[in-house]
Amino acid sequence: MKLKDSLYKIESQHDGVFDILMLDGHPVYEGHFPGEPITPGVLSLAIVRECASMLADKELRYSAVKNCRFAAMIRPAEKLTLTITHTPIDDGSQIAAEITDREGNLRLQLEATLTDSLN
Amino acid sequence: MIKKMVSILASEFEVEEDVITPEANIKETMHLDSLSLVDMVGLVEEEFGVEIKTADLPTIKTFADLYDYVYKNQK
Amino acid sequence: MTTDDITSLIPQRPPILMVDRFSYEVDSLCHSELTLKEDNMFLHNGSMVPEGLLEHIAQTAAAHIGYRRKMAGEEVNLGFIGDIKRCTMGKRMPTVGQTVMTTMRVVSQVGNITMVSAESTSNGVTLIECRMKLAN
Repeated sequence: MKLKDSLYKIESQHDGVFDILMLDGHPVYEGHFPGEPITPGVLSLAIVRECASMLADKELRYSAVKNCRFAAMIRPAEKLTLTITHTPIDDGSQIAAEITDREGNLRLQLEATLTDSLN
Repeated sequence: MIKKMVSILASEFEVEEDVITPEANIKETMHLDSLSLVDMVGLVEEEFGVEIKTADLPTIKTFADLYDYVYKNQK
Repeated sequence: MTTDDITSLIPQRPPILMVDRFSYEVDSLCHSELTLKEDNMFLHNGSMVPEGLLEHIAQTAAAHIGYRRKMAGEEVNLGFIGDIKRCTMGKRMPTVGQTVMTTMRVVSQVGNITMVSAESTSNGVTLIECRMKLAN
């Protein structure tokens, strides 16, 4: 499952801040939901994970989510800003992340642990 | 019961115990939104063995209202 | 009540239909199953990413809510994850052919927001535990 360039595009990034463009046309929208395309919350989590993996320069997966708040829905074609703070730990990364829209409204807030131990 | 309630709520919602006064408004004092309100209801239900019905929630505005509700409805 | 006809209880459809079987026990308890197929969208190098388990749990909660709505004579409606807390994932994620079994308990509910606690296992090994809020 790779979502970069199919679900979203990174328009620019610097210092853990990613300018994201949500794409339309990803097959997931056929089922979520028929006639009303809304980005599944878990795929927003996946976007954060892919970008955090880029920052850590290795493939990571979630090992724990302390707190993830979905403040407002994300839809195709939206322009968003993702900010990730990451602290390397023994086998991965501790991250805090926020997704806001260009008006500064909060869409997602996350504290989680990512691991580089994949099976 | 009140001491335990104050301690648990202050800890869970990260506020000082001394702002939890009987006449204080629950939502404002603990900065509750619709999601964290459910956390509060779940916590009180589990710790004090009550069921807080959605229909009764509008009557529970202050901490005093909450203490009364728990006293009356504890199983 | 057990059903394989999950589409009567939740609005999600392929390619993101993540519950095969759903069992409503009581107001506060239900079970669900998902057998991982090759075309599952959450597969990566042959095993499921944890986000797939979270979606499976969210849809289990949606099925529970959907069933209660239908019992009350209401239509199934769209639901969304409000938050996820206290979530830990196991060391090994499930692979194609494995069946994920989930037990979900309703912790509390206020209006249209339901807070659930869920645990998913496969072959007796815990895959994930979490608390989640659904808004519908």
